Amino acid sequence: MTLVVARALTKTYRMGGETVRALDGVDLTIDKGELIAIVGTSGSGKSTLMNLLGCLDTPTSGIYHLAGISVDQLDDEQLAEVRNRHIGFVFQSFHLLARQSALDNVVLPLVYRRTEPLAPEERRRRARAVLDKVGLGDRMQHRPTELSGGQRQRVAIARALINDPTLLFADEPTGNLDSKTSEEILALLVALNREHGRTIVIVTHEPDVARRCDRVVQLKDGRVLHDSRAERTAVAPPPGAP
Amino acid sequence: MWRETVVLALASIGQNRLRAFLTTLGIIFGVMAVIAVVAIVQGVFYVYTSQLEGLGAGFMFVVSGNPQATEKIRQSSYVTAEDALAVERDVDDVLAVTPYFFDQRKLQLRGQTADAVIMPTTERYPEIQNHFVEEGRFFTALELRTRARVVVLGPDLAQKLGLSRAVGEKVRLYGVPFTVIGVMEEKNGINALGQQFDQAAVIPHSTALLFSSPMRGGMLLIKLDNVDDVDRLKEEVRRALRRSHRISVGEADDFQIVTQSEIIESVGKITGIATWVVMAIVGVALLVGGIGIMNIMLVSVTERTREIGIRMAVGARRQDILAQFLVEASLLGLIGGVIGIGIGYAVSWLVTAVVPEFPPPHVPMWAIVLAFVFSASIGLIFGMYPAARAARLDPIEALRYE
Ligand SMILES: Nc1ncnc2c1ncn2[C@@H]1O[C@H](COP(=O)(O)OP(=O)(O)OP(=O)(O)O)[C@@H](O)[C@H]1O
Ligand SMILES: [Mg+2]
Repeated sequence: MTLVVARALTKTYRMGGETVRALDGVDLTIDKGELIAIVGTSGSGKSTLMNLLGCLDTPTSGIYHLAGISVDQLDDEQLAEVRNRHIGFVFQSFHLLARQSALDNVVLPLVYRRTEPLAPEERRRRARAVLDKVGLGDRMQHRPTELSGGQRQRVAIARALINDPTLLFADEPTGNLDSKTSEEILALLVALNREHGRTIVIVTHEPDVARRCDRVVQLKDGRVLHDSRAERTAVAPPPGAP
Repeated sequence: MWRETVVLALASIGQNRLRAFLTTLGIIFGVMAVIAVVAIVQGVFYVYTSQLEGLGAGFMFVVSGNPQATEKIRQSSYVTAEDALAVERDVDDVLAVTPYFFDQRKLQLRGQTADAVIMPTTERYPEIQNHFVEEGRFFTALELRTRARVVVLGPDLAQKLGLSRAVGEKVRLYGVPFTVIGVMEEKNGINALGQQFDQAAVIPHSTALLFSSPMRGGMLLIKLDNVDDVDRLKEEVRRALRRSHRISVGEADDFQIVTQSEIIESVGKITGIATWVVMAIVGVALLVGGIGIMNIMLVSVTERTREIGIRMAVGARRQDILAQFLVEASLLGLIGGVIGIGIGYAVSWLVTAVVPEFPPPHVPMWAIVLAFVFSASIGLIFGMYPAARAARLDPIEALRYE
C-alpha cells in the first residue's frame, strides 16, 4: 500500500537577492512498512525533505499525497491536524518539554487531538502503555533533565507513537548519543518496523544506520542522487515517475 | 481542552511566581486602590444614608449661622430652645422639635472615667430619635423645666463606667453629681450629632446650658409629620425662625436649614466624585499593569519559542497556541485582581479601624465584579499582541530556536 507520493517536490528560500533551492524536484514513493534512510552531505536537503513530508512546511511547488490526502493543498490548521494524526517526529535534540514529566510529554499529542478526543484518564493510560513498550515503565514521572540521553530519546519515540501515526520521522535520532545508546535506539526503531510494521523514515549521515535500513535515499544539492528501492524496481517505474 | 489550557497556564505562572507577582503589581495596586477607596467611601455613604434613613421618615436640621449672611449676623447667630418651641407651635406638619448642641465631657464614677459626647435635648428625644430607654426612665418635661441634674446613659457608656445596675448611681459630670435615671436601649448607628447612640449621655437641654454654652450656636432637630412636600415645610420652618429671630425683610437668615434628603444627596455627591476620581487614577495604574503584562508575556513567548515549536510539531493549531497565551495573560491579570481585592479590603479595614469613629468599610458587589472583569480584561487585551506573536511562529524555526 502506498502511503507517500511526492512528485517534483521543490522548496526554495529567498536569501537576500538570491534563491536557495533546498529541494529541487524530488520524486519519492513510500509504501507502508518500509524502513528508509535518507542520507546525504550536510546541506543536501535532508531536513527540508523531512519537514515537507512531515507537514511542518509546505513545498514551493510540487505534489505531495499522504495516505490519500493532498497535503500541498492544506492550510495551516489542516496541516496541524495531519501532523497530529498521521505523523510522529523524533528529533536529534529530543525536543521534550523540559518542565513536564515523561508521561506528560507523551500525553501531549493526545491533548491536541480533536477527532475522537480521549478523556484525560484514557490519555494517561495509553501514554503509560507506550512508555512501557519503549522500556521506560519505571521512569514515567521523571522530567527530561532527570533522564539520560537514550532515555530522553525513548520518551520522544513514545510521544511520536502515541497517536499511532501513519509515518514516523527521525531526524538524526542518534546524533546526540554515544555509540552504545545509539545502537539501542536504532534497535528500538528497527524493532518497531520489523515487529509492528511501522513505516519509518530516518534521516542520518551515519553509514551504520543506513545499512540497517531496507532502503537508502541519497540526496545531493536538493535532488535524489540515489534510491536503492527505485533501482530494484527500475524495470517497472512507479506511475507518474519521469 | 480548556481545562488543560488553564492548568497549563497556572503551571507556567507558578514556575515563575516572583516574576508573575512583579508583573501584576500594577494591577494589584490599581485594584487595591479601587477596592480600598470604594470600600471606605461606600462605607461612609452606607452608614450615613442608612442611618439618616433609619432615623425614620422625614428630618430637618437647623444650624445656626449662615455663610451668606454678614459678619455681624454670623457673630450673634444662635438657635435656642425658644426657637424649637416656635417651630413646633407655628408649623403644622412638624411632629416634634428638640434643640441640641455638641458637648464632649468626661464622666466620672468612683475613679472610673469615660469620655462621652453629651446630647442635651428635651423629653421629646426618644420619640424623635426613635430611641428608647431600656432600664429606668427618661427625664420628664418637669425635670427639663427645673434643670434637674439627671442623665440617661448609652449602654456602652454605662459599661465603660463599670455599671451593671446603673439606675440610681451618681456620676460626676461638669464637676457636679448627676443621678443616673435610665440606660438607653442598644441602637447601632449614629445620632443627630454624628456620634454613636450607645456612647452618648443624654441630659436635659436646660441643665446643660447651666454648665456649657453651645458651640457654634446650637442646633434643632425637627421630625416631620409627613414628607410629601419637604420644600414647603422647609419654607414654613424658615419663616417661623425668622419671626422668632426678628429678622426684618431684606436681611439674610442667621441660620441654615438642611433636610435629610439634602444631606444624603451631598454625601452621595461627594462619595460619587471621590469614586470617579479614584477610578480615573486606577485606570492609569491598570494601563501600566497591562503594559507590564504585555512585556512579560513577550519575554515568555521568546523564552518558550522551542516549546511552541514542539507543540506545533505534535499537532497544536495556531489558535491553540493563541488560546494558551491569552489564558495565561488573563489569569495573570485575574490573579493580580484577586490579590488587589484582598489587599484593598485589608487596607480599608485597617484605615477604618485606625481612624476612631470611622464607619466600617463596605464593598459593594459591583466593585468586586468590576475589579474581576477589569483585571482579567486588561490581561486579555494586553496579552493579545504577545499571544498573536506566539501563534504566528513558524514551527520549523521555533524548533530550531536555541
Ligand atoms: N530557513 C531557511 N532559509 C534559507 N535557507 C535554508 C533554510 N532552511 C534550509 N536552508 C538551506 O537549504 C539547504 C538544505 O538544508 P537542510 O537543512 O535541509 O540540509 P540537511 O541535509 O538537513 O543538512 P544537515 O545534514 O547539516 O542537517 C541548505 O543549503 C540550507 O542552507
Ligand atoms: Mg538536517
